[in-house]
Formats: sequence, C-alpha cells, structure tokens
Amino acid sequence: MDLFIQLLLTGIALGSGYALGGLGFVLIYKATGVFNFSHGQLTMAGAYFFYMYQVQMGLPPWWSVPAAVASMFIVGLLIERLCLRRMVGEPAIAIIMLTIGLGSLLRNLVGLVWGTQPQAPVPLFEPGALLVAGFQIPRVYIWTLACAAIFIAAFVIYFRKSSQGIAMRAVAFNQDHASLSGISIHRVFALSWGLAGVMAAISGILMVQLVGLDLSMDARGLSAFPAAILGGIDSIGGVIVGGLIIGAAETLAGGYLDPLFGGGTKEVVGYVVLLLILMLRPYGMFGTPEIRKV
Amino acid sequence: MSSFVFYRNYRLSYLEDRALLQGAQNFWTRAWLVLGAMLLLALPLYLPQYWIYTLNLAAIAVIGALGLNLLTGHAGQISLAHASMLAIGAYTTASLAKLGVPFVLVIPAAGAFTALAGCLISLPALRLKGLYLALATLSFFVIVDFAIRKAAFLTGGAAGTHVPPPTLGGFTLAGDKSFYYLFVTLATLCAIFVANLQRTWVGRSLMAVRDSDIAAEMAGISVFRTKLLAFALSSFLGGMAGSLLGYYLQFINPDNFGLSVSVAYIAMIIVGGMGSVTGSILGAVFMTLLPEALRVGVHALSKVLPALDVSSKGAFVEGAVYGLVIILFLMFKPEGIARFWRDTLAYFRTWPFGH
Repeated sequence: MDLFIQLLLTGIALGSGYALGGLGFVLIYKATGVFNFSHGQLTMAGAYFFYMYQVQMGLPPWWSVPAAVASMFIVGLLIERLCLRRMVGEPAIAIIMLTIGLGSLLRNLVGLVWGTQPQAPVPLFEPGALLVAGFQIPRVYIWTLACAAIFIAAFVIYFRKSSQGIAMRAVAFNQDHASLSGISIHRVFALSWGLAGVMAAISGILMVQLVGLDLSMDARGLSAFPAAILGGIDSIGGVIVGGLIIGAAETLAGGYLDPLFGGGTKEVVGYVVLLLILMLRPYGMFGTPEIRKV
Repeated sequence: MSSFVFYRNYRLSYLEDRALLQGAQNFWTRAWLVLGAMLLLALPLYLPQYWIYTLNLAAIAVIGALGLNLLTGHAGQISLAHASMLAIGAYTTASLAKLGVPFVLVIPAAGAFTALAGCLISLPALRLKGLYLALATLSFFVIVDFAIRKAAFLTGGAAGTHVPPPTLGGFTLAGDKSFYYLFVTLATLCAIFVANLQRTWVGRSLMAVRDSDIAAEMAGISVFRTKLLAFALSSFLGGMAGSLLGYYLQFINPDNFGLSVSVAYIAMIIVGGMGSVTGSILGAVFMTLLPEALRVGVHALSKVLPALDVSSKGAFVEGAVYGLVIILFLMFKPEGIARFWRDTLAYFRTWPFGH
C-alpha cells in the first residue's frame, strides 16, 4: 500500500506536467483546428533552452525560466508565421503530416545542437523530502504540483477574463463571426502558437525537475496526446484530469508491471490507454461527441 | 505508322485507352522503356559497391513506399505505423529463414503475415478518421516496438537477431549484385501490381473512399471492406520490404524500425507525390539518395569549415532534413516530384509549342 501511494504521488506530480503540456496542445486544437504532432518536441526544445540559459550561458537558475519561456514563445510564433499560416485551408491530412515533419525537424535539431548525452541542469527546487501523514514526499513533487496548478489556473483565468483570451475562444467557436466582429484571426493564431510554446516550455522545465533531461524527453512530451484524448480533445478541464490519470498510470505501471516485463512499460501504458479510448470513446471523457460513424 | 508519331495526346483504340502505361503503343515510349530497363540491368556492372548498396536500399524503399502510398495516397488513411509493418516483415523473415525455408516462400509469407497484422490496426481505423487514426497508428507503433523489445525469445529483444542468408535448395543468394537483381525485379513487379490495381475496382474504390466515404458508401462500395483491403495490401508490401531489408542487412534490431522510419516513408510519398506510382518510385529513390548526397556535401564542406564536422551526428542531419523536406514540399509542392516529372515530359513532348 505504501508503494501504491508513493507511486500515485509521483504520478500525480508528473501528470501535472503532462496536464500543462496538454493544455498548450488543446489550445492550438481549439483555436486553430490543427492537431499538433510536434508538441512533444516543443516540450523538449523548451527544456533544452532552459538548460542552455542555465548551464551553458550561466544565467541564475530562476532567470533561465523566463528566458526559456520567452524563447519558446518566439519559436511558437515563428512556426505559425513560417509554416502554418500558408497551410490554412489545406486538407487536414496535409497539416497533420506537416506537424509530423516539424516534430522530426525539431527533434533532430535539438539532437544536433545538444547531442545524445543526458544533461544535468541545476535543480530549481531544494532537495529533500517532507513527512506528510507518514509518507516521505520529495519536495520536488510538491513544488512541481504547486507550480503546475498555479500556471494552469493563470491560463484558465487568462482565457476566461482577458480580451485576448476571449478573442481566442471566439475564434475557436466560430472563425467567420469572430472575424466579422473585428478580431484578427492571424493574430489569434499566432498568439495561440506562442502560448502553446510557453506552456510547452513550462511543462518541459517542470518535467526536467522530475525525470532529468535527455533526448527521450520528446516521448514524455508526447504523453500529452493520451492525456488530451482521454480528457477530450477540446476540453480544458478534461486535459487536466487526463494528464493526472496518464501520469498516475505511467508511474503505477512502472512500479507494478516493470518487474514483470523487465522495464519499459511506462512508455507504453499511455498508448495502450490511448488505443482503448480511441476504440471505445474517441471524444474522451469530457469532449464534444462528434457523430463520425464511418 | 501512327506509332512513330513523336507524341499525341489522344487515343486511337480501346487497347491504347486501357494501356497500363499511357503511350505504351508509341514506338518512342517503348524505346525509352527498353533503354531504361537496359540501364537498370547494366548499372551494377559499372557502379562501385557502395552505390549498389545504396541502390538496393532504394529498391527496398520503393516497395515500402508503394505500400504506404496505396494506404495514404490512394485510400486517404494516415499511418504512422509503417515502420512496424517493415519490422513485422523482417522479424517473420528472420524466424522463417532460421527454419531453413527457401526465400521464394519466405518473402510472400512475411508479406502475408504482415497483412494480417495490418488488418489488426485497421480495426480502430474502421471507426476513426484523420488525426484520430494517426494517433491510433502511433499507439500501434509504440506497442509493436515494445512487443519486439520484450519478446526476446522470438526476436532477440533490444540486442537484435541474425537473419540467415536467403537460400533455395542448395543455392544461396549472396553479394550486393545478386541482391540488386532480386530487389529491382521485385520492385518492378510491385510497381506494375499497384499501377494495375489503380485501374481495377479495388483501386477505384480505394480512391472513392479517400475522396468521400459517404459518397462511396452511397455508390455501393463497402467502406469497411475497402479500408480493410487498403490496410492489408499496404501492409503486405510493407512486410515484403521489411523481409527484403532483413535479408539484406543480415542483422536486425528494433532500432532499424524506429519512428523515424515511419516519418521517412511519409516523407517519401509526400516528396514523390501522393497517390501516384511514379511518385512512390521517385520519392523513395530521392529520399534514399538525399542523405548520401548530403553526406558527401557536408563532408566536402567540413574540409573548409572544420566546425561543420557532423559525421558523428549523421542520423540527426538525416532526420532534420527529412522533416524539412516534408515541410517544404507540403508548403510549396504538395503534388511532389511526380508533378515535375509529368510537366517535364509534357514540355519535351510538346516542344517547341509548350507553354
């Protein structure tokens, strides 16, 4: 039982990172209708930017966070401006393949620049554990969870209250009407990609605190897919719940199934869940059911 | 006499209209075909071994790309699991070849077994479209990769396994040149098969489902059966490509069939041209030769700029270029090289009256 609770806590901490990453992913899908297959690579790029500012350029640990976030905002804007804007109106299959190509490009550029060796950024949070109700909980988990919760809350408030957030939701709801009421669709698309870059960077930085930094990071970032699909691809609340469930499922599988299979189940369990959801309930737990019987 | 006319864009008989290759009745087209075939047969006699090796990989890629193009280009179903198809074909080959089965049986058997696996992924595909299908195939890829790494008793796990050389009775196929002739023959047969398929009810129903599944259903096409067939045929060709790759590399491990392989095949059909046999061939050859050309280019550059020595990072350069090529072609030339090819031919045929 102790092991179970320990694993569950780890999973929830990790899952909060997935939830944050998945949020950026849902944001792009809602606002621009693009399913971004390069999201895992964006997460990884954010984490490596953080490493670059912190270790290679010697910025103070905490200052590297806004630096990495700003860089990823620009990367997001650039992707939208250079690639996606030209693809408006193209068939969905072409756009999906474009983001697959983008993912391959990003991943290999990161590999070219930083190499295959695992890197070691300075931890942002103090080591050690807190004793809560008889359980040793590493401080990192608590801090990660808190940070993720704060950022998710901030983003949700931003979408609900700020004029830009409202513009984004308007575009997601109906592009033509939004455009007619004076909202610039191009600006909203650009902003969505920029913000998705920001969320990818933050979730990447948080995940680095938990699992370290190497080229397998993009697979971690890809866990946003199962999270988003489980929750329902167009539901912000859903992606948070989905992220936590996938995080917990991964660590639980790591704890209980790895000894049976000899490792590696962590990476697969999210996709098994994904496949099951796709077969049983493709619109997820909280998504809008679409009638697309074939 | 009419067959000696240099080019005409009209048909004179039903036989011409049904021709597999447009203009095949034309003397000049036939002359070019014969010349091309002779060139293909003579190439290995004059090329250095490394180039034969590259051409062999290109021929295997042609078969794989024909398979993926059938699924994605003709039937409109995205698949990120094509690497798994190659893997299943290759590992089936390894297991059968170890039992001493002759290669003329192993290659179709590997294809058939992979086709069964393809039917398995088509189960979610029967309900899903577009991005959901892409995700389902991605899951399938991850699960197959995991299974291969874990089923060490069958596949050798992460360390990989040896594939015995192809044998038939007492005869053993060995050497790059013999492989070259086998691969080129099979690739040609597959290309003819797919080109022929396009003209049959199967090919036409694939395209109908791609263009509109509802309209296809209304026209009396069983969408279920068509998608199943698309996945089965595509996996058959993918499995065959994997089987040949296994025989040729002699040693396979899961890293030969990573996600980057799926991406490379997607790049091939996009670069070549979706839903086109010429496109599959041109795309596969282009994407196989591109990294080689790149390697030569980067090597030459690194002599001038020593900082550019990326020989240790070749795989990353390759992957980045695959990604970049996919993006650029989708943005600027969505119809691929096949379109260039058609335009160039038309230019010369109509010269000097082209426009």
